[in-house]
Amino acid sequence: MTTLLLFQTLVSGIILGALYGLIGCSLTIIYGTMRVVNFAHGDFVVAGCYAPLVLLGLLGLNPLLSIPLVFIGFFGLGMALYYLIMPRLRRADDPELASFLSFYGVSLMAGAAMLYFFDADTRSLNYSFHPSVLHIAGLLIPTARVVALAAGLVLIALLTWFLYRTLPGKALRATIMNPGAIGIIGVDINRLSGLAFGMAIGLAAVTGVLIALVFPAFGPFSGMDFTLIGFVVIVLGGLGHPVGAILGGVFYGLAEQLSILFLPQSLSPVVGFALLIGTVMLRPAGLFGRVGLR
Amino acid sequence: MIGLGRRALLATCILGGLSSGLQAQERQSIRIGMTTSSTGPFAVASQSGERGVQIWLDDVNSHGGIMLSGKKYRVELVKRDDRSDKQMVSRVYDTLINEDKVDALIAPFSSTLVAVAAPIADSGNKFMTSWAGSSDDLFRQGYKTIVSATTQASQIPVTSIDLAKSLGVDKLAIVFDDEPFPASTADAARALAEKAGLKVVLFEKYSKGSKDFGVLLQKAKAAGATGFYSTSYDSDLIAMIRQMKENDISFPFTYMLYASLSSVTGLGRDANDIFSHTQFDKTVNWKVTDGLTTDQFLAAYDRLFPKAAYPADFQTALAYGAAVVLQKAIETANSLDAAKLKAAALGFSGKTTLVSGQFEIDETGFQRGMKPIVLQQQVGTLKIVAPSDIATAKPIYPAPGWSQR
Amino acid sequence: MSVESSGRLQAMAWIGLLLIGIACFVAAPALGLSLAFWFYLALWITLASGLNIMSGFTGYLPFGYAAFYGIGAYAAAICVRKLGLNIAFGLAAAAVAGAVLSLIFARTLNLRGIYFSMVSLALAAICRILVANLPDWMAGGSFGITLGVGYRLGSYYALLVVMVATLLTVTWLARSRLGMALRAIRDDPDTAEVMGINVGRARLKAWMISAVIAALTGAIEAWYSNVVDADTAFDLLISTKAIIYAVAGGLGTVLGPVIGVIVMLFVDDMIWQRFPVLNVFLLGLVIVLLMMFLPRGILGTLLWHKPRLRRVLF
Repeated sequence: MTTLLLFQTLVSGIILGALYGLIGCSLTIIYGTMRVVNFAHGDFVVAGCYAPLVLLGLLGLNPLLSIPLVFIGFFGLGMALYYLIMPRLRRADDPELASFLSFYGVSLMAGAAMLYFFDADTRSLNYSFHPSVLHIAGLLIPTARVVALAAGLVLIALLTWFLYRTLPGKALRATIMNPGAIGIIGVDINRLSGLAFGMAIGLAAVTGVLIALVFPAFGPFSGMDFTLIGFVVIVLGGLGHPVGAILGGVFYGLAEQLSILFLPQSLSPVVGFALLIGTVMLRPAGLFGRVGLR
Repeated sequence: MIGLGRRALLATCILGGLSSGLQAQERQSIRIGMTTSSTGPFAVASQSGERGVQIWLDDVNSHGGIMLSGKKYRVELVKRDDRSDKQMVSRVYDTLINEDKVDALIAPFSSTLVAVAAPIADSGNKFMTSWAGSSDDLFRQGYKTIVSATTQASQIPVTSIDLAKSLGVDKLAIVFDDEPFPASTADAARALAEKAGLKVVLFEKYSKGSKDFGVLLQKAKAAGATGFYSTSYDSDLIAMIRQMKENDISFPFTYMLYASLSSVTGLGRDANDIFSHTQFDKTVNWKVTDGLTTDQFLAAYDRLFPKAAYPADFQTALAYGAAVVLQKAIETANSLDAAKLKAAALGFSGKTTLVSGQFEIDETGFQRGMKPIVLQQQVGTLKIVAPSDIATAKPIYPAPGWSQR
Repeated sequence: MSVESSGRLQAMAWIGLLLIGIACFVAAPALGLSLAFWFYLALWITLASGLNIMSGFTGYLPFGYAAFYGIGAYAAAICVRKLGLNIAFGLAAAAVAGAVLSLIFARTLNLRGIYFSMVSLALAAICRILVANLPDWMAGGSFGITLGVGYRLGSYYALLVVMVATLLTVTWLARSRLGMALRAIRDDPDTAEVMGINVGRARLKAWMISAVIAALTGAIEAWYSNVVDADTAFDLLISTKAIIYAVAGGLGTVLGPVIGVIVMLFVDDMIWQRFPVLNVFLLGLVIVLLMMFLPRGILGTLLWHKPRLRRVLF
């Protein structure tokens, strides 16, 4: 096994890790503000994979340019979903269980809907960059991945700016830190949660666009896989810590790609799950988190 | 409660006797059950096979139907959807046998699904012909009513490995998906390759549903493979080809079993020079003893499916062949009893040639005839490159790299 | 009504219901009804009730419940196919395998809420991958294992026995001290500890019983359907369906999971007959609506609004 192969794998791990981190980021925003475990998160990512397919077909739109459209569309969808379901769920005896299961139901519906519209065959985004592969520092990296990484970094920067420099962003972080106190100081927690949910779904879908660029194929049932990756990532990064999620994602991405290199591919998913279990049992605050959430 | 049970039992016996008596008088048609996948990884191939069965149906009914006990009965095809899902198959074949009361069955597409349908057909005592259950393991289970009308997985790599050896391939990387047919065929390929003196530098399976083959391809390249051999289904092959191009990885000899399907050839230039598998081609004319010849078969396809998205491929021919075998078994045995049908099939085994090749089975239903053909896509068209006696073109080897295409 | 006579009324009602139920199940094959339907009805009742022991009574939601189901299925299959033993040995092996696996996973019981559920899910996924990667001669690899036992009807009756045993176990739990201890743990583990309940031991007992039930169910299903493979045996849907059916009926009640299974299977069957294409979509919708409007489940909501029914139903 050559060092070249090792470096290729590391680069792959970082790029995929950044995307996984974004998935985790959006998932942790939802969990942090609402203590809701969004079982349907991966399905929104996959929906985001299909979106540029549709837009490319209908409008001939470059997938990168479709990102703002996808974000706005799914932001709206997210908020609508929130207002439709959450108020009722909040009144249940056990809101966590109730929301857990109802989002599982949403996941089934989303998967079935995509199945209906797009058929179960795996699809790919037929958009190639020219040249299709770049030579950087002696490594061969598909152009699509470099583009996705760049876009991902831009997104992360925007998100960080939003969370740390804008008022709604700070309110969001405050809610994550202490949901009770937020109500006391007069913030409408319902509206804030709706906003957070919409944003998270929008972000998830946009991550899907990037994933469509990077992965050669996806199908309507890939949703659960991404949801699980999201969970491993947020546990690694610490529940409720968006920046931790990004780091957790990169860590997971590296672990995943390296395990494919050293283990047979059919065994490599074990590593991801083992990481999850290990982190929860030994360091529940996450590798990068400071305080575990109640 | 015991009394209740006995009375119910008695009632059932009487009713059963009456109804079977009634049935014997009422037969209007012969009902054949099968499932196709409207969606899922097996959809394209399964629907291609379905068209083959439709060709048979049209042909047999235009001649009045199947001859049974001196009378010709129309064939009724009871078709259900399995959605490429194992649990659906289980439910649906149960329904076909117990509710739709079909007389015989045609198996679904893919060894994965046939493995679920076979025990149901066997315990339900219905004869089933299989056109896409190539996994050898299927025929080691002791089923008594299943018969194969397609090349078995262990036989499929024969032609391609011989070809690879003759072209000078020395190191082979075998990659496959964790399902019965790909795994069977890959195992057989490895055994045959090692026997032929090739070195298998990578033998790796990936879990079903994996979408990213980047590292796997790079591992193959890093291991020094001159030949890349994959037995996965077409959807994964498409992903592999794309990633090969993206990562600028190519091999002098690339064999992808299902690359002869139009979903893969549709990739155009990217799929050039890839070797693939088939059991049917328009230039191949076996001396058919039962059913349509190659030309008649293709003509029927054009007539029945003028607007079909895909041309007839080997799945179409195989399914057609399976249906013909079923018909011949019924007419030879002059019965619909599963055991008699199986005996009849064994009887005409080795003496029957279909459009998909020679039909020869052993006691377990395992297919021994039907030699595999190797195709290569050359400049956008599929050409037969092996076995040499029916070849239409010379193989292109070594394949050029991506930058030279 | 005095406490004693209401207790007896409840017991009589329950025994009556149980006997009627058993009669229906036993008679079904003789009447030529669809064995598949009744088999799976019994299967889900058993699984949902087994899960109820952990979730309704003890307050844990094991999303990896399928791990026990799968290990039971494989234990039986290996015994029958690879070791050539009788299916009875297979079932016994399954029960043992389930118990052992639950012991191996026992440390996770220290976790709470969502952490427990996710770790449970991850453990089941690891089981699946490991089993799928065992050498072919051991566990069939990609092909799975075909059992070839025959006498399918036997599996149906075996399942009935397990189902009744499960229901009786849950009934016993509902009345016993262990059951009260478990409910105390579910409501507030710290207080339970303070009150002198040995939280660890009580939990472990419930966990093992729950696991053995799932393992036996998996083994019997393997007998019935004749084939096991890693993907289907460890399917996430097994855990989630069990959870949903139990929740739909009402967690923490004995009849809840039974009602939940009957209603949900009926709904699912109806959907499958009329709208096969929309099947999964409608199922998801039903789940969402259920959680929005009947989060306590059918029986749970009924008992909440009409507590006097507790005299008869539980």
